Amino acid sequence: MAASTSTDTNVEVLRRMMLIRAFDSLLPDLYTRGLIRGSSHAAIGQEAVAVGACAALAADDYITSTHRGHGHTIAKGGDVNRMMAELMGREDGYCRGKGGSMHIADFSIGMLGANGIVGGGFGIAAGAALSARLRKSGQVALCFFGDGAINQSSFHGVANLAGIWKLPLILLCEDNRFAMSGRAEQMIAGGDPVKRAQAYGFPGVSVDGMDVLAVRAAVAEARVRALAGDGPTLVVAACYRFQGHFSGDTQSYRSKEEMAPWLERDPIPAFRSRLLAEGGLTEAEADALEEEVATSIAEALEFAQASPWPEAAEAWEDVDG
Amino acid sequence: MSTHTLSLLEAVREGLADEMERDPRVVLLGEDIGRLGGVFRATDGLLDRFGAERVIDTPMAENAIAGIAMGLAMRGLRPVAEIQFADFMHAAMDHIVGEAAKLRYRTAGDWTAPMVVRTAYGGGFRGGPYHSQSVEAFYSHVPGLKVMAPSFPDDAKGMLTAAIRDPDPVVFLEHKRTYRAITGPVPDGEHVVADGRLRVARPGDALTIVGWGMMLHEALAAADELAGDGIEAEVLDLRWLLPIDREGLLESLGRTGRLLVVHEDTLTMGLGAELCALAAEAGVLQAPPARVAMPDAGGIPVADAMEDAMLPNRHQVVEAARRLVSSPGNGEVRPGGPGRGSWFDAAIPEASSVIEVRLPEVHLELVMAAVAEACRAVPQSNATFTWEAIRLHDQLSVDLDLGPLSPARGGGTFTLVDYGLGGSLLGLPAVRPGQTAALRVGAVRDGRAYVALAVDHRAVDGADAGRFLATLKRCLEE
Ligand SMILES: Cc1ncc(C[n+]2csc(CCOP(=O)(O)OP(=O)(O)O)c2C)c(N)n1
Ligand SMILES: [Mg+2]
Repeated sequence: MAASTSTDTNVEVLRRMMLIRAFDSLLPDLYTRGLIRGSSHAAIGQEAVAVGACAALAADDYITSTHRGHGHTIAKGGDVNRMMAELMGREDGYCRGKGGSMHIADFSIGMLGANGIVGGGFGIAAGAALSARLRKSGQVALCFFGDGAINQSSFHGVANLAGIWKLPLILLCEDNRFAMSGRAEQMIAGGDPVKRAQAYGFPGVSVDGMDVLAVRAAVAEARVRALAGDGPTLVVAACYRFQGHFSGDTQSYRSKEEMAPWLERDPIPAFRSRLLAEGGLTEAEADALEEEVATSIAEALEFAQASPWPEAAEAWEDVDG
Repeated sequence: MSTHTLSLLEAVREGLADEMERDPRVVLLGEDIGRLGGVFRATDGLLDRFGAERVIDTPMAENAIAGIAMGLAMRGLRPVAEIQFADFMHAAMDHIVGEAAKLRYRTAGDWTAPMVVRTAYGGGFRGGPYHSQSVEAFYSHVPGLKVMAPSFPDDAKGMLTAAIRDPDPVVFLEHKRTYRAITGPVPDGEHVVADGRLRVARPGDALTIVGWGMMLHEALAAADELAGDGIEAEVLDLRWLLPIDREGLLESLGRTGRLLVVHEDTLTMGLGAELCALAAEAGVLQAPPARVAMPDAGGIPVADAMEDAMLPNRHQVVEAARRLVSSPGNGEVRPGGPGRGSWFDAAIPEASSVIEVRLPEVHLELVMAAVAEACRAVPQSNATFTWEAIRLHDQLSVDLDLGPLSPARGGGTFTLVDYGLGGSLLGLPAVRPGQTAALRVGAVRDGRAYVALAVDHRAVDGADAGRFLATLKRCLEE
């Protein structure tokens, strides 16, 4: 099967989810083998949010991402080779080894950057949205952020001005129930983050973040609203972080019993079964997809490890213009 | 005094626990400090010991954490806020700098904010641009704050205790690489270090090296290496970054006259600038001061080679220290008399010999190549003499001394004087401290010149000098 490049097809939607899963599943092993340095955060369990949201965007729409950004980048069409190279701190990485996992950006696909500062994306996304309005470019900006980030003051500052200025902005909250060890229900006043939209005078939409098509539909609607000049939407996608926050996270803050029902709702097998049942995919095609994804990942590993280390002297480059 | 051994991280934890035990007003707040015990585990176990009212897990909101700490402090509590990484302090700066630092002053002393903001700073573990910063210069610029940065476990506990008891806001900086790498004795029982003085981490008299946090340990390692060359550096652990212990600094500089500051924060407008200024204003420096610091780049890269290249290290400290001790002192009369810091060392028993060479014209490259060849033939002419051993250098680094207008820059392993550019036919060079030989080439007349070699006779004897000059002559005339 030829790799399609747009998420117009459900098969491509599935492929990207699988690619994210395969990519992030490598992290612990790469870390133990000393191939990646610094911290990186897996989006395992949250693939449907990233892919569903980006599938509703145009190629030149903007996204801002988070510390948990590999999924967003792949969903927007990022190059896994260059991503892997950046994780390994190599010359062919997206930041030529300067950033690592939490700094990947690809302006050519409208991906304005992962961000090691939680809450760092709000202002950037709002600024990009305002720029789209001023340039009359017909683009929207989508800001991914977590249930933890919604408590940063920057959320509130940006939500207010996006509300009064009716910016073409989609605020996409990945409510995976935790900010590191902080439980959303204990940390978010008012309980449900979606209620916060009301305070700023724009719609808040709750969506099942384990259902990729539901996410796509909600974001598509928000995008129509944004382009019509009706302003921002807060989309809260209920999902779950399947793994620890960082490698070695003992996860003493949650129980196996609590995790079990979420793990059963794994968005990837769910979507795959649905496509098989509805005739959008045959078993043979599904197997071929598996193989294709495995090949992409193997190639990415090979590419990254073959990529040279940056010269030490490059540390002094790009300091100013 | 009986002690127990702790890592710096454990010392922080013990300091918090002891003070919470002693003073019920002490409360901790921050992200993930309770059940998780903090991202670096500084508060591990404290939730179980002191309960959720005193070990408060906050939402992700650094700005609010600092603000709430201030409010608690103004109303009778003793808050210790944790910001997970110094890089996230920027969001909290609004309250720390804009509000807390000014409280005492703007209320004419009526109110104070006895709060501590602890954070983990520094690079060296592949954290990348947003998890590796040093922030001391930002906060040390702010009147009304105190800034502490311990380098040893005993100080981590003792100074943290002092910080908690301090009537004013304290920014408490913990270098994350010291957390587990640095262990040491901590006095049993109550331990408070509240004197505001720097700590002499290693006594010496050749120069003063000032550092804190992980860089202090790099400076100590450098001092070990320098001692092998007979250079005894005094290493000061500044530890109190604001206010600076000016007396302690000047006391040391009064003896050494030479200042080298090492910091992991970026160079420009860093604390090194302030320390150099203090020393310069006091007129205690015998030579221009030096700084080894993070280059002024927009962040610390994640890739190994780049991060390693950027972080200041012991080798740079050694190199800067060598240059500093061999640089000419202020107002010295050259050729200088004996005494510490002088350009020439009267203690070196010198010997000289002169030969004549055929030299159609003078090329620096030609002379350099000949010197290199001669040094290869006689390795002890590219060496440092100490009473323990003659240390041969792997690399040759030639200091060019072109007279008073362009004196040698120092830091080299061999000195070349004039190399034939001057007018005088014959002159004897002097061996500089830390080196064993110097060469002077006289003016070229009728295709000939005199070449004089001076050696430290303890390292290079007459036969060696003869071989040196013979090799040199052969190379120059070929
Ligand atoms: C300003 C800031 N504060 C704290 C952190 C440390 N940190 C990294 S991720 C995280 C939790 C984020 O939670 P959430 O926004 O829900 O995203 P999730 O990790 O669940 O994807 C924390 C506290 C940070 N990177 N930046
Ligand atoms: Mg979360």
